[in-house]
Amino acid sequence: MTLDVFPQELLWPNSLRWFPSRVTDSGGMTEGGLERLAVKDGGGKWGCEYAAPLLTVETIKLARSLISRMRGGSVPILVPFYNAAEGPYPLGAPSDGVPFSDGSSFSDGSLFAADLISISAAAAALRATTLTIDITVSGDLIGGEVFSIVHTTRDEHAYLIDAVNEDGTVDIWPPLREAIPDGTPLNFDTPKCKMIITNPSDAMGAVTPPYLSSLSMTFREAW
Amino acid sequence: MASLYDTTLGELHRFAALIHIATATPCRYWTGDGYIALPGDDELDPSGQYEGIGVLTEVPAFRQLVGGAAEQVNVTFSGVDTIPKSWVHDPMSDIVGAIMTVGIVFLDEREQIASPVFWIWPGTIDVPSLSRNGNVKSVALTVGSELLDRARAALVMWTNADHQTTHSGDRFFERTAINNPFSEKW
Repeated sequence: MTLDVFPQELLWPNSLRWFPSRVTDSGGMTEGGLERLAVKDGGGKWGCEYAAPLLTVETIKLARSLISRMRGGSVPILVPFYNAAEGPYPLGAPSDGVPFSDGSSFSDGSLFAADLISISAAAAALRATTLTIDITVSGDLIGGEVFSIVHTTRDEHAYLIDAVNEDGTVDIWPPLREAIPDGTPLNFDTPKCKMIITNPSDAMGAVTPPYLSSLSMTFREAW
Repeated sequence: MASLYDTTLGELHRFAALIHIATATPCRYWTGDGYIALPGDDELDPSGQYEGIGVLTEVPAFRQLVGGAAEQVNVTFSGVDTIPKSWVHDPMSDIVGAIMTVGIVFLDEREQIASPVFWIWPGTIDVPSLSRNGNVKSVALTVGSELLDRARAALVMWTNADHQTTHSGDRFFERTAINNPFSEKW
């Protein structure tokens, strides 16, 4: 099944929060003020809160059709992680595109789109949390970067680098959703994650004069 | 051999429960997120791959059964997924009488399996049931431990209804109830 991609460039967020969704049990607070926690979710999953203003009739109609196509949360969608500000671009920011060799553009002014970051990973097993990476083009990785992998049977999922190790490996979260072969490309330019909406009935606000509305969606990672 | 009560395992505050149902095509679920593959040397299910995609909804508390004790528990599954629904609706389902085994596994700080799977509670599946609470549909499997039948009441009245289940139309025990107040002294 080909998944829809959330059109972030048409519905720019004014608030965006990606967070790890974990399930913990507590053993209670001791008299000394200590508390022991146990985690029982096997690694956790992504959650996302996405809010965007709807300031035109076009964006209101787009948002309405988008929510409808998610069929109450039964149809997953690829939600982009906003990486323009955080991606490890060699020059610190994404460029607008690549021109022809003589510097010219297409007749409409557009340029060739190109991934500016090129990193691949060696083979890793299901649920691996350490990847051996091969950097071709990238800025410095410092931890906290988000990338995605298009898996063979489990669609695209996002991962966070939570540590960069001195031996050329990176620690990631969550655990890999599927084993990957050698040379798997890691998408740092436009990472996306397969998710479902969890608040379809409340995602879109009322339309108020002079015909404005807002989008406030909550997603969780899907399988 | 590793023990569930190793003091080192007590420091691993990450764990999950696994459910293995030994139908012809085994059903494998766990309480974690996503998928997990067991080691190739697992004593029950080598290299089995378990799903944590929202199908297994509740694992009940189990007791340590000693001295001939028995118990019957309900394990709850999503009532909107195909496999649990087939247990209730498919007359060819082999779920009744299948063995369900519950295990627990510990994970380390990198979410990797750090212990063998302790398969701690085997039971026999009795009756699947489908229920709805508001807009939540669930399938419950009633699972009895090994000595459950032995724990039933010692004396059971044999009734005409019991006889009819295996000998439909046979009137031999039809008047059993009439003879109830009389005891025969031999």
